[in-house]
Amino acid sequence: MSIQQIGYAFVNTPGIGGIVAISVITTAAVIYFFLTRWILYGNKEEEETSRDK
Amino acid sequence: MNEAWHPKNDGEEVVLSPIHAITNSDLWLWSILAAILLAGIVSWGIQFFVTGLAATGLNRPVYWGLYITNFVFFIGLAHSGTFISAILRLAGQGWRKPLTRAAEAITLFSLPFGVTSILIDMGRPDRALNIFIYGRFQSPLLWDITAVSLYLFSSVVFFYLSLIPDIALCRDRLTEVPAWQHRMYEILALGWTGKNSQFERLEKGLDGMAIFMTMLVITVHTVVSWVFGMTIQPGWHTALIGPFFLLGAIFSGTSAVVIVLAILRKTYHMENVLPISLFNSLRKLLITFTLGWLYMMIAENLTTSYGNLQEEMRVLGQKTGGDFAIMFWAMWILVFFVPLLIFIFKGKDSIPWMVGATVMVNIGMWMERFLVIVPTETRPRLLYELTKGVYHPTLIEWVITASLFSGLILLYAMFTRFFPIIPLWETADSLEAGENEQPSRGFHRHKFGETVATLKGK
Amino acid sequence: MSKWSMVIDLDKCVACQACSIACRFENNTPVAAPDQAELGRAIRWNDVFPLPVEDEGEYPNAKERYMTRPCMHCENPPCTKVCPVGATYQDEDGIIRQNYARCIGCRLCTVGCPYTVRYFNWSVPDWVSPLTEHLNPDRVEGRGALEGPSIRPRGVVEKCTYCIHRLQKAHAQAEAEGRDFRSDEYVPACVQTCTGKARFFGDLDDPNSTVSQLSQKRRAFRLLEEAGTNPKTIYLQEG
Repeated sequence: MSIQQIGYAFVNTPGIGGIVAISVITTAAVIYFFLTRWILYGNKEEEETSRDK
Repeated sequence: MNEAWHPKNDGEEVVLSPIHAITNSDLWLWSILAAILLAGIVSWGIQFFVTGLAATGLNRPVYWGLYITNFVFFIGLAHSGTFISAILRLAGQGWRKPLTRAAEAITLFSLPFGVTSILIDMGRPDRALNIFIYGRFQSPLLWDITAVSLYLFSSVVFFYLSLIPDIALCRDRLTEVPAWQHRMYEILALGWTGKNSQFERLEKGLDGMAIFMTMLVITVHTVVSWVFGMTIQPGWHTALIGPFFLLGAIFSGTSAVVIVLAILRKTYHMENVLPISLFNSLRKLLITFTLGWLYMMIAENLTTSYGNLQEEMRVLGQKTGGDFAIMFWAMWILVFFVPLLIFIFKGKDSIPWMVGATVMVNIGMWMERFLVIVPTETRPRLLYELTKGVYHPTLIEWVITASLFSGLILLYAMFTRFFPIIPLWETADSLEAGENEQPSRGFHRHKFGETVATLKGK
Repeated sequence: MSKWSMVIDLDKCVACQACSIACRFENNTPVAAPDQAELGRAIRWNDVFPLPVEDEGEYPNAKERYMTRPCMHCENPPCTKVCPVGATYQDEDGIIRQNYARCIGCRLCTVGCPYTVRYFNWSVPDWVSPLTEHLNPDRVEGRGALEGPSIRPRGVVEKCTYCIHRLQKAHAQAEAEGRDFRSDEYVPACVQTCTGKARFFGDLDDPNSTVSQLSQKRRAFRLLEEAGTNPKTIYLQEG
């Protein structure tokens, strides 16, 4: 299969678009979860150093 | 629950005062808005269960009308918040701070109504899940779904993150609120302690997200326009439609911020927290946007009329001298001529003038959305003499439209009674507080972590 | 694999509207009430309408022109491209099909079609009494598919399918008789019924077919050729 065919199949096949949409949202959800956690608690190493102080 | 440290803010009492008391007039306002919203829900129920889209004034070839106009308008309105809090944050505009939350709240509450508008417009909303099951990425609608839902989601996170310190403040200061409300603050504050490092990471996190939000805001409205631009219909199929939608979105969004600020300032007596200089800064932006709108309008219409392609001219003729002439020229007056004059000559230091002008801009921008969508449909390429489109929106469409607007206002009004609408920590006198460095005290870590850490804090 | 195509000779068309009627009965097109038709909601997969004439002349030298218009079945269809769920698609024979069971009624295809040949079911399909007893029983069904003359639900888009059910029946018959399918075994209802014998149907890929040869004629043209859609419904000019 040529690149063109793969590209066309990607945009044209029903279902793939839904997977793309859902995975974008899911990726965002995961990133935001870790971002929120980082803002609230920082990462491990930082905590340790702050405790050492 | 141990109290967190909060930066000192002189306006604290004023900002928190609306949360203390829900007045009778509030209840009246809410019930009126809720009644209109209910009327809309009932109308939509009738449309969905009984009549189908036959209840609207839509037909062939005018397949899209008020609902899609609302969709575009609400998504546009949503650009207010991101523009003020993300783009101006990146540009280092400090004056934006008091109004970030008020602006972002518009984003947050108008986006859901944009999404709802699509569902209302669908012939088979019960099959909405098909978009995910059988979604084809070639369709601009999929781009829309992806972009808008990511934008909605990111806006919620962006908004919430900057709200956390203030929720913690509510949790600690507002002890006399009903138990459920206090519990809500406790949960939503996620155990915020107000440590310096937390504030630092929050600022860093918001800065990072601001870059992402800026990219999203540009993507979203461009993609919304591509639903039209990707077809080959005259009037829609132009590369300019994306930038034009984007500019219109920021224009109407920023105008909405002016309206909201004026209302907040008046009803909640926030004259000192929301100084008139804010309006003057927005005024300068709005002058730029008004002129930008003129630029886009000329670029688009001059290209069309100079090229003089028959099918394009039919659509343009519908606007300048046809069925939509009154609306088209009224739009010019409402969006451009009068607001520009007001902004330049009357707007300085005058809130009533600014509000008048921005209300006009928003009415005009709604008309502009309508004028982008409908005139094209009334003049299809093929044999336009025979399939001339006529569109008269029906009562049910107007009721649903009104209910979307009152839903937005209702959510907004209620929000201001439960959360501080001015970001207290961002407008605080200083985040570099010396008293932050208090002796270490233990505090309970919220659900993300499992251990009880002993950390600095108050 | 074939490339189904229709040629309409406007010189022979007498505008009797038999094609429209045949299409309605063949494909169970719902009837629009007069008020709905007035609103522009009548569904006409195959439409016959008068064309505007510059100088109409006077009786007995009056000039009149008519046009008949099924779906163009474009080789580069703007409608299937924008469908978010693949409810409308081009099959391997080049026919643009519509799956009523999957359509979400967003009407992106209807606004995308430059020929406005796609129709939306604004209300539940309805027929007046004697018609209800004489609906075409043919159905095109499959897993999650409902096409052709099958009764459609409210809120979905429908369109001319070159009588896809007839093609399927012809294939089935050839298979049952244990022989190869021949491309002259299938014509849509409008072609079969055309009183002026103005309509021709066949495989455009077959150089010997009537449609291939007619499409080479100097009179041959396509609607909105400048739109780049490359229709497979081809017209022969009057004159």
